[in-house]
Amino acid sequence: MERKDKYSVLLPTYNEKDNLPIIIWLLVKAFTESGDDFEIIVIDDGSPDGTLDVAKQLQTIYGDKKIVLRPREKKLGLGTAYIHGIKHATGNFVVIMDADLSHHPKFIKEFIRKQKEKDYDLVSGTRYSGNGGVYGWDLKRKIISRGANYVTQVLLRPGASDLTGSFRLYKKEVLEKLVQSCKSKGYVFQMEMIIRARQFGFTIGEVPISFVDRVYGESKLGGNEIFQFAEGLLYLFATT
Amino acid sequence: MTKLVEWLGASGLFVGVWAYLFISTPVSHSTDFARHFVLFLPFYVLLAFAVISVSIIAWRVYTFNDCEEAAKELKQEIEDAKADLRKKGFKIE
Repeated sequence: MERKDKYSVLLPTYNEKDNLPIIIWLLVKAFTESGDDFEIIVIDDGSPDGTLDVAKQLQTIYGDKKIVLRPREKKLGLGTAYIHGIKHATGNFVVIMDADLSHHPKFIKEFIRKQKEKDYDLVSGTRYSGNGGVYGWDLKRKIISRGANYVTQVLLRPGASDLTGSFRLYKKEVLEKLVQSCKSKGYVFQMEMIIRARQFGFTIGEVPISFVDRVYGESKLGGNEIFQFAEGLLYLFATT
Repeated sequence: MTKLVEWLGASGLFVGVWAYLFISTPVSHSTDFARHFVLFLPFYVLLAFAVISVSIIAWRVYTFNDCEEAAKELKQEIEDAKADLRKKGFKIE
């Protein structure tokens, strides 16, 4: 008998008390429609806005087999959130995504379909190819995004069109191995994951996704982020 | 081999080719144009690369998909979600 696939969605949260109910509702809807077995692991980093209480309410509605809570004391970063989440994941596949509604769960069944095509080790959502795209970015933001991506493509030739994206499906053991080998933070962490995946010979599939940015304007893409990105890019250029 | 090493290697190769061209266009046996071209070859290569790069980036910005539909869809779904969750007993603000 074939072992059934189960998808563990890792949802690191920080101050997402308004978005969390919606993203969970959308996830449950998407998986119920596709019929795939799933669980959602909420990793809240001690949000002061009460995100964890909201998560507990959702747990009573959907059950603790579907909504798994693995909170942490304080903001500890994405890499460790993934490691923490994987430890409790009972699925053989892991979906990573943002909890702020920029990533839509409707694409997960596309990721699953793509993964099955060639048994890909990881499937990456791309905003830059096919009919992928973004909502809510002005010209300046688009220029920075495409410019940075172009420089990255030229310097690193990664074989993936969207390196800083964070909407992906991984085989659990692949994610485990990659997170352990990545040292960077922020945007660069996601880039490093793809680069290391290539180094280890993992296969990467792509699915166009739409990214709906509702916080652009609140969160700034400031000089600091750009500097960190450049620094990270040079680090990867020199070491991989 | 890291990307850095690759690029250093490619640069070395380029310098080698350039030196060869330089040597094979001595002042006495070549036209002013040939001499000038070889002398400024790296500059022209960089200039061409810059022009091509800017064009590619400009094209990609121009054709960057704006997901209007996705945003509208999401707005509607947020309302649907809130309504459904309220029915299930969730306290939505």
